[in-house]
This record gives sequence, structure tokens and C-alpha cells, in this order.
Amino acid sequence: MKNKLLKAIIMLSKCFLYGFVLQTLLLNLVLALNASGQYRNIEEVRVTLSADHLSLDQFFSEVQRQTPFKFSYEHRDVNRQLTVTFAKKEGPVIDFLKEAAQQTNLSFRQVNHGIDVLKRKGSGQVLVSVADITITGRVVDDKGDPLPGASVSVVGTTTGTVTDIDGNYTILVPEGATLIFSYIGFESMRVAVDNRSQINVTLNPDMSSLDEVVVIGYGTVKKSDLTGSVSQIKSETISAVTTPRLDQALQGKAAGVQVTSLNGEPGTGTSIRIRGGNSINASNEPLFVIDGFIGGGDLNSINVNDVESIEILKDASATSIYGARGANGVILVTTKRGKEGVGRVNVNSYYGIQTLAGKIDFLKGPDRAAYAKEHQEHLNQAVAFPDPSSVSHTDWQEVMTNDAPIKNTDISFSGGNKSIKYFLSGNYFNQEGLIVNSGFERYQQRLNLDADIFDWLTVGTTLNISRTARNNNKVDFYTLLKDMYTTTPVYKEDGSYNDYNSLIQDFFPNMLETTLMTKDNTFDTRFLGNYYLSANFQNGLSIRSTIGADLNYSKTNLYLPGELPARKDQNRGGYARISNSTSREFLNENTISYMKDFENHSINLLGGATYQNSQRESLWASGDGFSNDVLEYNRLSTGNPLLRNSDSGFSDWTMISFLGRANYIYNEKYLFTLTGRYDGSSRLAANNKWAFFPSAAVAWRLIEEDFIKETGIFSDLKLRASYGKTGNQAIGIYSTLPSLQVNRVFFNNSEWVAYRSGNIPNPDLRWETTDQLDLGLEGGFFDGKLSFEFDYYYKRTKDLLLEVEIPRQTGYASRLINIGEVENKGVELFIRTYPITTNNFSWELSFNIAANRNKVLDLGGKDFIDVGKGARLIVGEPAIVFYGLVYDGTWKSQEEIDASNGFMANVQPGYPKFKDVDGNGKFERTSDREILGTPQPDFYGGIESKFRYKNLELDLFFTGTYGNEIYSEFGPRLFYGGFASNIHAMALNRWTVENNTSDIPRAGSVVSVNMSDTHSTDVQDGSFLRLQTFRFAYNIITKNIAWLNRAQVYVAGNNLFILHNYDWGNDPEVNSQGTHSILRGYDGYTYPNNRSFSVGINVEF
Amino acid sequence: MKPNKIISIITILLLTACSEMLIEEPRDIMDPSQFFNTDAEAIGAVNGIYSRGFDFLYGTGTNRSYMSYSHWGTDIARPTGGREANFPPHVYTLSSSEDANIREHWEILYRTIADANLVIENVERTKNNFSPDVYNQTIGEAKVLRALMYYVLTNYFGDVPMWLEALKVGEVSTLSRTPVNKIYDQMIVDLEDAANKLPSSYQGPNKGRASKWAAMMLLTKYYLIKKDWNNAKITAGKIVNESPHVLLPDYGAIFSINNEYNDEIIWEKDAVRDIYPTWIPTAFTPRAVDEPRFSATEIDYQFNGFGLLSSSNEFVGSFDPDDKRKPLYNFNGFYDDPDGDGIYDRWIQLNNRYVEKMLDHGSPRLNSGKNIIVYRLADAYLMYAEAENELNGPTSEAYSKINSIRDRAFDSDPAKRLSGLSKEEFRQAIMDERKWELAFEFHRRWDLKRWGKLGEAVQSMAESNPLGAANFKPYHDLWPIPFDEIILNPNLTQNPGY
Repeated sequence: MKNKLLKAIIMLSKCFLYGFVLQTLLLNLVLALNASGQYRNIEEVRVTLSADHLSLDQFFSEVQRQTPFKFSYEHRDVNRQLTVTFAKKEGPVIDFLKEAAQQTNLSFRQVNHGIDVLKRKGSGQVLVSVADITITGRVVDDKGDPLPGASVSVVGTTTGTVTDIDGNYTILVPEGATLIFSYIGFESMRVAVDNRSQINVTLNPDMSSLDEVVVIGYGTVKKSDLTGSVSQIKSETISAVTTPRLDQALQGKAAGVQVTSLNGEPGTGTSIRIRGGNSINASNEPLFVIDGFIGGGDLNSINVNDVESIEILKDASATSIYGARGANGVILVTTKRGKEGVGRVNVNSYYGIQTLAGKIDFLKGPDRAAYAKEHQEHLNQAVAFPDPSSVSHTDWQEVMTNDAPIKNTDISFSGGNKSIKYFLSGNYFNQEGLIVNSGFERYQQRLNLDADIFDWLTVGTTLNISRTARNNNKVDFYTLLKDMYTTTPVYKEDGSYNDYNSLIQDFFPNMLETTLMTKDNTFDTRFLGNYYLSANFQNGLSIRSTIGADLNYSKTNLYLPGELPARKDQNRGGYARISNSTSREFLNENTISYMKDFENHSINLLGGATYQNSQRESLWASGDGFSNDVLEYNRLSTGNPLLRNSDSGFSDWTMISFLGRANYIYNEKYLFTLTGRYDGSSRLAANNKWAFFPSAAVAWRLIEEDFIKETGIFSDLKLRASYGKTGNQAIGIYSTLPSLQVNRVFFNNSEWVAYRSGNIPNPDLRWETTDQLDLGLEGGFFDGKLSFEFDYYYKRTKDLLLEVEIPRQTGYASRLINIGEVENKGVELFIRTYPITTNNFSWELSFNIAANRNKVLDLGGKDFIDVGKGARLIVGEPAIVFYGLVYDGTWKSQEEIDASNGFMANVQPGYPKFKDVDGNGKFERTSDREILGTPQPDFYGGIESKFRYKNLELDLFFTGTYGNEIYSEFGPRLFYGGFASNIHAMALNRWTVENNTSDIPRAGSVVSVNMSDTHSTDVQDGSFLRLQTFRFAYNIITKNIAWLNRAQVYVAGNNLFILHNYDWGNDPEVNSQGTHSILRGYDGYTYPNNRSFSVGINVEF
Repeated sequence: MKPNKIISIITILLLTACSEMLIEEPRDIMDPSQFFNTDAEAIGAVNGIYSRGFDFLYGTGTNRSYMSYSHWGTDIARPTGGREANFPPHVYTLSSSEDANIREHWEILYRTIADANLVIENVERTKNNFSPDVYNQTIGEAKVLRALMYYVLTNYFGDVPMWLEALKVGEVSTLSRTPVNKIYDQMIVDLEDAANKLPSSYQGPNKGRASKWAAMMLLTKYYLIKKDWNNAKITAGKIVNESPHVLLPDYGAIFSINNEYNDEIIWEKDAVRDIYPTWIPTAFTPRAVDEPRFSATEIDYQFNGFGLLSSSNEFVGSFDPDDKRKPLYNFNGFYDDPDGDGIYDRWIQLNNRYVEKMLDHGSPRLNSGKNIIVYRLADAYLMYAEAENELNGPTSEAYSKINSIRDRAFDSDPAKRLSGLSKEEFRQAIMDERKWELAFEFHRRWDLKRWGKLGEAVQSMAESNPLGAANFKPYHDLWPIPFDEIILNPNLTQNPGY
């Protein structure tokens, strides 16, 4: 059904596209709406008066009766009883007007068919004038949206007007005049009137964009008035990327914001570090605030095209308004809202194909068999493949993946009048996974509404409703790579699934069969609604109150059929499990603000109180031992009664906060900001629930100083500095409380509930606190054609929530306490240039780069802590470093071994050799280790290039990191040749008696290698440069089609190429540790990244 | 009142109200301070002790489990497939900083002690909340389980920190090693108390809990370690004479999956296939790669195990050929029906000798319902004979106990009965009989260690475990204290040799 709908939508989109192309080709004549002035002049129209003495009132009536002219005047300016004497009774209107003007203090001006009566000020003014031509028109921005309040003036005069709310204007101009159109944030435009009566203009954004409005927490501020470090990303940049998730669209876009995709599974998020990681055990992910809802929603439920702008708050001045949750940076997402003016319909649709970006080059079937033979013969084991050349080759990477379609269609309606504005949108998105039987689907709808109840009172809502369906991935890609040997065929000769592995000579559950048979789907139904009431008073005071709710219902259905190879083998029947969770999060925020400008002073004060509460309930039930696979998870009770199982859970947390901010600007030069938030959180220990997070910032707009202005170099220059504290409360709910774990035990085949000791309570847990200093310089040159933003920061985090190892004679391995310090310091640079801007061709180039240096300062008195999988925290080093053995080539000969005086035990020629790090002449796994690298890059960033040629656009976006290392969890098996593993094709050149100079270990030597160790061969350079986005678009000329504002067709590609030095995979941008606070750079081969091509259309009516 | 005073009062009131909203009231976790009020709660908390250490010792069957560690490096066991060198505890290459697995044992055993201490302290504290039977039983079970943990800890490591109260992290973190004799004495007191409190047997869904006689078995083992022969003889004698347990006439029947909770078994750990399975039989099951290759479809027998433990040739060779116990350690082939005509006419010879009594043929990998025996009566007979011999030499009482066991093994063949041995010969006879009777029942390593015969036993395995035989040094009687633990608690000292 849904596929039918989708097909219909795609069909319609195609029809529209063809229609546009046709119309553009056929209707290419310019249907100019030029029309000359048609009004008759007061000099031409004659009038006959009834008497030569008339009151002004009588005079006006007689003229109005006999001519098309109408007088207009302010009653208080005109004494209509005043009598005027005329020299004659008949003549052109202008003569009578002149006489009337001379006898009164009035002047007259013809405006089309109107005659304005004006009170005269002083003498020597023109008594009667004619405003020659009325020009009407509309001023819009480059997207076709009206620009209300834009100024329209006649060059060389003081005549001018402003546009109304729909961007329309009317102005009287003398013949031959030139109009100038200007609007803050846009380039001014001069237009000669010539012979026209209607002039519509489109203004292009001013590159210097000094007066853009930036969203900050609980308010907005002009960019020029900003004292903190905030990166802004506009909707154009986001929607240009064909990606389902907002966080993916942020990749490489902002300086100091490192967005790492975790893997290629549809619907999978990213891990984000803003200015490095502060914490070791608590989360280092930033706080997302979606339309003011703190931590609400889920990025899978948001339509990327609904987003108006994203602001990333980086320094303490910006983030301390979010207090205890601000330490990792804050990402504010603001969605589009309706604007006053005509209704708009926007349709955006694309279709793409994803392909596997690359495969790991394994030894092919016969080569793998030969390797196994060599391995087994060397170790005197029974040989699995006596005749390797007869072994077939199977490419399981190919078998388990397929080219997968990705489809997206959005439609939005927006508009409004003076009192009601709306933005309504819907989205359907469907992405199939590269791995068979996986994918992600979303239906989403949004309503953003604003209504003025009174002049001073506005109410509104932001509603987002979504349903997402994930066809969960069933394949552990690592297992696929490791265990699905190239020697194992998918099918037997008779065409049925093969379930025997001849390398290890054992049953194996056929992965393709297993994957295709398993059902595992997660459905999320999510409602995110935030309602506001806002009162704005004349005196600058405003009060705003919001109430919001984030409701989610999540359900996962799992069915493992009894026919599944692994279950059939054990004769266990089917297994079904249904898991539910419902969560509701409630947020109430109340703020009061006051804004006042007087003389050279400008103040803006904000105060507020918020309450947030979240509750989550979970329930799951399972059935096992189903005798057939008919009912699946739909009737759990038909399973074996003894194997039914269920559990439930409940958790909640609350936060209460008080916040305040004061901005003061003197003379538009000196800017000061004080911010603070006082937070109370239920998660923390009874004695430490409350904490205060203040910050202060100053900025100096040097551009306003004469000595800078006089240099004539800068178009903008601002220096800013901030210092403040923010916190991190990301510890588990109830982790300060003592608890008993619930378990079970059996006696005589009967189940009993068992309670045993749970976590060790720590009643003293408190917030992690980060102090941050930020120094920034912003500037622009050449009228804004080159602008830059540079920041230096220093952060120090103390009271780390550290899971500290304690002696296990307590029965516990570790305990969460506040101890230790970490620092991050770094620089960020953002540059935007417009090297070429002509009418037909323009080029915009943006560039951002950031370098962060992270260092562990204190680990509670310890020198180092091992944190698992080759990762170590060492005081003075980044968190983390990879730590392990150093590969030193192969032992080339027995003589070399003999000469080493037993340096390594049990080695033979061709065996791997490791470095004697401590130099004691003996190799020991425990002590001969050193730092092998860190997952933290030396620098990272992005380059964005936008070309415009007439109606063509070409966008290229590159992103990359440099100097980071990654740890391949598969590396040791690929390189040392694990027996039960696929092996890298480089083993073709392995050490053999004939090829005895090779540094690739001999087959079978893996017995001397401990796979749980970390080796320098596992840790490799993770630097990369990726062409993240390629987009080529054609803007169809629509100005002759009245009902169409804009139409664009495009082709786009994601991840088209990548440069890297990584041997054990195709993409070093991975992290199998998910959003873990410090364990990053692990390649666990979770789900391969895709390369995608798409075609799309974007139309606005 | 001044305005700022009013403001501060309002602020205080507001914050107090807010702070109340921030109090956590968890609904799905149990606070220990609100527990231990009813009989059911006390029993639930005792169950928690079983679910940790007892489950860990007698439920897991990996290469780093109690099952492997109490048999490897002795004179009965070897892993199949020539993998000896992969297993440091087997070939005695364990070094002080090496084996994280040892540390896992250290942690789990102590965590179980923490569980037991929590129960004992709280049940004593709110003693009046419970019926006398439940009070007695829970204290008794907790003490037996705690004594079992200290039994394994002292056997592994020698002197270890001993603590007996609910956890105070600061204090317990700095405890130094308590001399083993002090631990033995404490455990003997505890076990005597437990034996007095515990019921003689359990019925219905309680079968499988530690009984009075389980406490007595462990108590006897502590006496034997202490060489307190007199008390060992008394307690073993009580078990033999006063307990409801009897020797089954057929040795193989003791281990049958269809004969769980039989009269000979004093304590066993429950396992339920699919629901609460044990891994241990899988560890004894052949691994396909170690055995002759036939296509899987041709073979009825599933080679789906780990092959971690098989009988060494030396061990199988030490049996009297008539010993009925021998086949239970020597499963080395079977008849197969390759053409599926129902006639099993092809003999498949295996490369290794498997421990039939620990196997669960046809059970899926890691999914066996076979209960694992902790203690059984034959052990008490042999312990009695040993204590009696040490006290009084090979008396008729000593002979009668060992010959009861031998009669079962040899169909009461009088020729196989022992007689006329010297005290020293009788001691050797006990050592051999314990090997044949109780092999792979988690006793061998500790028996050898308390006799001071571990090195001798390993060296007898020159063929099956040449590396172990070559590497063994007397200090290998004990394991190293986990290296990282000494760093974390400098009050710990390392065992000599490491």
C-alpha cells in the first residue's frame, strides 16, 4: 500500500518535472507587464466653478464632482471654512489650485487621481506639484520570500517609502528617475524606472550579513551584538544534503564541531564532539534543544527540510544558559514558521541508490584453503583442504549486501495574515539498508502555528508527530567478515542453503538464510509538542510561558523462527519477543524579559524558571519453543508455557532551574553579557542536587571605532572574550542510591526470585564542572567578500565523574566518584569568501578547520587507567591513547632467532617479531608496550564550494580529519592470519621458505600471537578526506509562470570518494563504540557505510 | 520586615519546595534498607548468593572457569586438539600480571562474600521478623556459601583478606591478607553453626539448597586441610551414619540426567535445559575439529562442544581393566549408521578419551539440563577412611569404608578388596581411589595440593602435558595474587615465586 502511494508521488513528481521543462521551453517570451502612466494631469483637466468666492470645502466638492481627482488631507491641517477668491471661473485645475495655495498655508500635490493637500511649512516651497509616475511592485529575497520593511527610494531625492508585509510598495517618482532598493542584510539594488509602472526586484543577501539574527537560548540576538561563540547553519546548507538525519547534515559544517558517523545502518546517528571531550565516564555528546525543548525529540523523527536554522553554542557565555547540561555544547534546532503573506507550497522529492562504498580484499577461496593447509601442516594438524585448488570462492560481502534505494518526499504549506501564521509539512522517507533485510522508514507531520489573540498577546505551537519503522539489522557485520569464509559456499550443489563449514568442519548457521528468516522491527510513534503564550508590552517588557510534552511509544517485535538454522539444529522451536516502552517528558519554561534603548545605551534582561520531568516505563514479554512459525510474535501464549518470560521497569528524573541573562551595549561598540543558571537535578546525591553555572562575556566592535574605520580595510571587526562554568549531569538515573539486583535461581527445576547486592551507592556524587575561557575575533574585508571568525579556547573539567577502580576484594571492580581533571584547548577558524560574483557567475567558498588538544591532567592520583580494548588513560596524554605491542617484522631465519638469545620464546622463522620497548633483552607482552596513537585528530574540518552559473548550481562539500588513529578490531586476524577467520589478500605475499624476506607473518605463526593484545599493526592512521556531498542543480526559469515561484532539479551524490591510508577497511570514519564518552576510533565493522546517488526536484508554488 | 528579607524567605521556601520535587523515589529497584522484613525476602536474598558465586563455580564451563581450573594441571585432564599451550593454568605459565581471568574469579568470589555478609548481617539485625525455621535456614545457607567461597579462595591463593560484615568500601579496600589458618578456624565455626541450623533434607522446589550434610561435607574438607583428623573423622562419620544419603549400587546411575537428586547426592546445582542451562557438559563434549572428519550429515553424534577437558591417557591407563568406572572416563568411539539403514555397523574411533559421566549426549551446545554434583556420599566414605588411617592406621573401619566404594566398582569382587596395607600404602590407596571415584568432580587439584602431591601428579603427565611437567615449580601450588590488585591495595603481598 505504502509503496503504491510512494509510486504515485514519484509519478506525480516526474509529471511536474516534465511539465516545467516543457513550459520553460515554450513560454520563453518575456511577457512584460510594462505599462506607461495613464493618468490625466491637473494641467490638462479643466473645471468650471459656480462662483469666484468659495470656501475650500465648496471648492474641493466642485472639483471632485467635475473631475476624476479626489482631495485627501488631514482635517486638522485644513480649515475648510476658509474662503478663497479666484480670478476666473473656468480653467485648468492647476490654476485654481495655485490661487488657493497662495491664499492659504496649503500646498497641493497630484498623486495619480488624488490631490494631496498638505500644510505648508515656511515659504519658498512649491505650491502645486505633480508626482509624475506611480510605481508599484514587490521586493522579495533570493528565495522568493517577501521582504517587508525594505526601503525604496528615489536616487537624489528624499522621496522614499517602505514595503508592506507582503513586500509590496507604491511610490511616486518623476520621469527618468532611478530607484534604490535596500534591506538590512541584503545587497542594495538600483533600478532605472524607464517607462514602467511596475518594478519587482529580488534582493540578494549581503555577503557580510552582519545583521543576521542568531538564535541563542531563550532568545535571539543580532549577529553583530553577539558576545559568545555561536556557529550558525542555515536551512539552505542543511537541505542541500540528501540525508535523513539532521546530525548527519551537520558534518563538517561548523568549526570545532566534529560529527562522526557511527556506521551505515539506516537510522543510525552520529557521535558529536564540540571542542573535544570533557568527560571520561559521563557523556560527551552535546545537548540538543529542538524548538526550545531541551533534550526532547529524536533526530530520527525530525524532517531535515523543516529546519530553518541550527545554532551551535560553543563557549561558556553561550552555553551557561543551559547550566548543568551545557558543558558539551548545545545544538539549537529551530524549525520553519509561517510568515505573513501569500500561501506557499513547497515540494521536495528525491530518489537515490546506495551502494557499498568498498569491500575488504580477502584471500579468495582457493588461496584461503591453501593458507589453511599451510597453517595446519606447519602445526602438524589434520588438513582441512587437501586440495586447495578445488575449493570454490564465495564473496560473502557481496552476498549479504545489495544496492538499496532511498526515497524521500516532503511537502510543506506556509503563509499567514497579520494575526495567524502557519507552517504545515509532511514527510515520507524510506531507506533500505545495504545489508539485506534492514532499513528505515519515516512518516512525519509538523504544524507550527502562531496566532495573535490581541495586539500584545500571541499564542502558538510547534507540533511534530512521527512514526518511524526500523527493520533492524540482523547481521553482525564483523562476524560476517570474520566467520563467513571465502571457502564456504552459500548454497549446496542441490541449491539448498549450505550449513556446513568445511574450514572448521562444523555446523554453521547460514548467515544469508538466518538473516532473511529473522524478523526484527522497531516502531516508534513520537509526539513532540511545545505550546507557548507570549505577551509583549509597549514598554519593552515581555513574558513568555511554554508547556511542552515529548511522548514516545516504542515497540520492538522479534521473531526467530524454529526453522532458523541455529534453532533447528538445537530443535528449539520458534522464539518471539515483544518489547514496549513508553516515555513522557514534560517541560514548562517561564521567562520574563525587558528590552530598552535610550541614547547610547541598550539593555536586554532575561529571567526565568523551568521545570522538566521525565518518566519511562518498559515492558517486555517473550515466548519460546513455538511448534510452528505461523503465528510468530502475535500470540505469545502458544509457546511452551515453561519458557514464557516477562519483565517491566520504571524510571523517572526531574530538573528544576532558574536562569538569567543581562546584555548591555554601550554606543554599539562595547557589549557585555552576564549569564547564569541555577540547576537542581534529581539524579544527583541528596547533598549535591543544586549548582550554579555563571558566565560573563565582553565584546568590542572595533569596526565602530574611527581608527579602524579610517583604515578602510575592514567591513567588520569584533573582538570578544568570555569565561564561565558549565556542568555535566550525565550520570545514570538512581546511580547515587543503594539497590538490590533482581536475578533468578533454580532449585529442583523450579524458578525462584533472587535478590543480590547492586551498585555501591555514592551519596556524594556531584556535577562535573567545566571552566571555559574563549577569545574570539571576527572580521570582514572587501565589503564582506571575505569574512572570518577565529576562536581560541581553553577548557578545564574537574570533579570528573570517574568510574574508579577499587580493590576487587570488595567484590566490586569500580565505583563512580568525582575525581580527576581533563583539559581541552584549541583554535577554530571559519572563513567564507566570494572570490567571484558577477551577474552570471558566482563562487562562494567556505572553509572551517579546528584543532583541539585534549589532555588528562589528573586521574585521582593514578598514573594511568586501562579502559579496555587497548585503550589507556595516561596523565599528560589525550583521553584515550591506544597502547600495545609494536610489530617489528618477521623473524627471517633460525640464525636470527638463535642470535637473539631467547628474546621471544617458541618462535620459528616467519613468525612475528615484536619490539623490545623496555630494552631488557626479553620480549614480554605485559611490559613491552607503548603508545600507538590516539583517536583524537590533530585537526579536522570541512570545505564547501558553491558555484552558480546562470541557472546552474554546483555544490561540493569535503570533510576530513588529520592525525587521528583508528583501532581495527579485525586487524590482528587479517594480518597474523587467524585460523578461524578470513585473511587479508596481502597474505598472498606472506613469509614462506621461498619468500623469506617478507614481513607478513607465515601461515600458522598466529599461534604465537595473543589476539586479545593490541598491536601496532591494528592501530592505523585514520586521516581521511571525503567528498561528502556533490550536488548539481538546474533552476528552471519560472518568472513567466505566475503560479510557480521556484523549481529546481538536481542530482546529488554522497560519499563519492574518500582518500585514506587505512589497510583494514574502506572508511576510517567509524566508531563501533557508539557514543561512548572516550572510546572512539574503533573499527568494529558494525555496518558498512554507503555511497549514494540521487536525483531530486524542489518546487515552490 | 525588610523587602530583601522577604525575598530571601520566599527564595528559601521556593527552593525547599523545589528540592522536595528532586527527591528520587525509584519504583523498580529495591532499596536494601527496606528489605529483610519477611520470610520471603530473607529467602530471596539467600537465593541471590546462589545466583552469583555458586552459579559461577558450578554453572560455567569455559576455559577460565572453576571447572577448568580445578582439573587442569593435575594428573587426570587435558584439553583436546593440542591446545595445551593456549591454557596457562594447565601448563603452568601463569605469570603475575598475566591472567585477567584469575582476577575475575577473585572478584566474583568476593562479590558473593559481599552478598552473603549482607544477608547474614541483615537477617541477624531483624531476626524477629522471621519465623525460626527461615531464620535458621537462611543464616545456615549464607554461611555455607560464604565458607565455600573462602574454600575456593584459599585453595587458589592461600592467605586472602577475610571480611565478614556488610561492605564498608573504605575499610575492606585496605585489608591485608589473613593467614589461612585464621580463615579455616572462622569457617569451621561458621560451618558448625550452619550444620546445627540447617535441615537434614529439603522437599519439592527446595531440593538443591545446602543442607546440614552439605555443611558437614565442607566442614570435613576444612578439617582435612587443617589435618584435624579427629574432627574430620567425626564429621565424615556423621555424614556416613546419620545422614539419609546412601551409596547407589550402580556407579553410572549417579550421574544419569534421569536420576537427579538421587540418594547418594548431598548437594547438586540445578540446571534446566532451555531455561536455566549449564555449559559444563559442552566443555566436556568433543570439538569437531579434533576428531575424524565426516560430513556432518553422516554423523549421528554431535561434535558441538569445546573439548576443554578429556581424560589423559595416563589417567585412563591407571585403571584396573575390570574397574566399572573406567568406561565413564573413556568414551573414545561409537557405532555409526552411515547408510541410514538402522544398522549401526561402522565403528568410529575418536582421537580423544571423553568423560562420559560429565556428558549430556545430544544436548545442544551450551544448553544442557544436567545437574552438576557438588558433594556426594562416596566422598564422605573416602574422607572418613583417610582420616581414620591418619589417626589410627588402616583399621577395619578404614578398610570397610574404602572397600564399600571398591565393591561398587568391581561388582563386589572380593579379590579387589584392599587388605593388609601399611599406613603409607593405605594413604596411597586413598589417593588413587579418590582419583578413580571422584575424578572431574572439582576435587582433584585441591586433594593433590593438600597432600603436597601436585608436582608429582603433573610430572606423571609427561606424555599428555609435557609443558606442564617441565614448567611446574613448587610455588605453583598457589596462584599469583592478581597483579593489579596489589597495585590497587598495596597492603596485599604477592605469593612467592611470582
